[in-house]
Amino acid sequence: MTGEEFADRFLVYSDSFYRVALYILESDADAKDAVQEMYVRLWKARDTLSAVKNPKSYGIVMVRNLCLDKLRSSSYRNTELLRTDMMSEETPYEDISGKERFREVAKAISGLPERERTVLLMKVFDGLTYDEISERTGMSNLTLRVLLSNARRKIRKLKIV
Amino acid sequence: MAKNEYDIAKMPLPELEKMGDDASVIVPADLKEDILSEIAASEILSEKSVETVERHHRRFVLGFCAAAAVTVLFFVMDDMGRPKDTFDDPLTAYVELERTFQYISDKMRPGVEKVDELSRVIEKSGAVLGKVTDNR
Repeated sequence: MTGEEFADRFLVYSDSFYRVALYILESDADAKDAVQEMYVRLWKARDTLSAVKNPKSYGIVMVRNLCLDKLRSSSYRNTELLRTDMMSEETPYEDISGKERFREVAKAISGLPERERTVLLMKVFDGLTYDEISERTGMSNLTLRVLLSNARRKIRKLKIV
Repeated sequence: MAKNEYDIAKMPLPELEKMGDDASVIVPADLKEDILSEIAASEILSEKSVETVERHHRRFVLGFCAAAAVTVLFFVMDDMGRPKDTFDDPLTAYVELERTFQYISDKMRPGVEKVDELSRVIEKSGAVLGKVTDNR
């Protein structure tokens, strides 16, 4: 499945998925978190998604299950906190450094100048070649390479990749 | 009050869809943009892990080749250290032959003695076993 097909079939329902997540989690930040995580998972499994007949229903069920997992892990964590607080000073939280790193990269991408961000997303998300991006944007191949190189360098500079 | 997980799990799909279509619930303006950023981040990070695996593979292959080269070199040098098997001078050839036979003989003697010892032990065990089976 191409990036464009993915956007047409699944990304188009992002608002609906967000509202369902918000209803369950009752938090803007957690709902956004859940929806973003859902889309990353969908993207990773995109090659199998062509068989999905109803993307909207599929996505709603997926986001609901994700939100339920979060609710369950949250209530489990609270119980553990209570128990371990009494026993030791160590935090019961799992290592979240991987997730933090992920968030940092996403934040870095959001903060890129528009042209760099556009080119990066077209390359990474849509999987377009330089020629294809050049055709769509009107920018030369050389300009595209420079923009992409700058974008990656800025992300690497943050010492997160 | 936190929603009941059981109720949410049992909620029918049409009801969840209706919730999703409720336009009165405001959605963050940058939601789609942030989703795309997250997807791009996941792609970039998985590129890095592929690079790391490839780097480890390269190191392994190089290490293996180096070890193989050292082993081959060892055998070649070892072979060079062996005595010649062709001689120009017949007398030199005869001396080398005598020396080789003596070497083999020296090595064989302790081996033959060991075999004799072992046969004695086997005979003894056989005799004991024989006594045991006869007494039944």
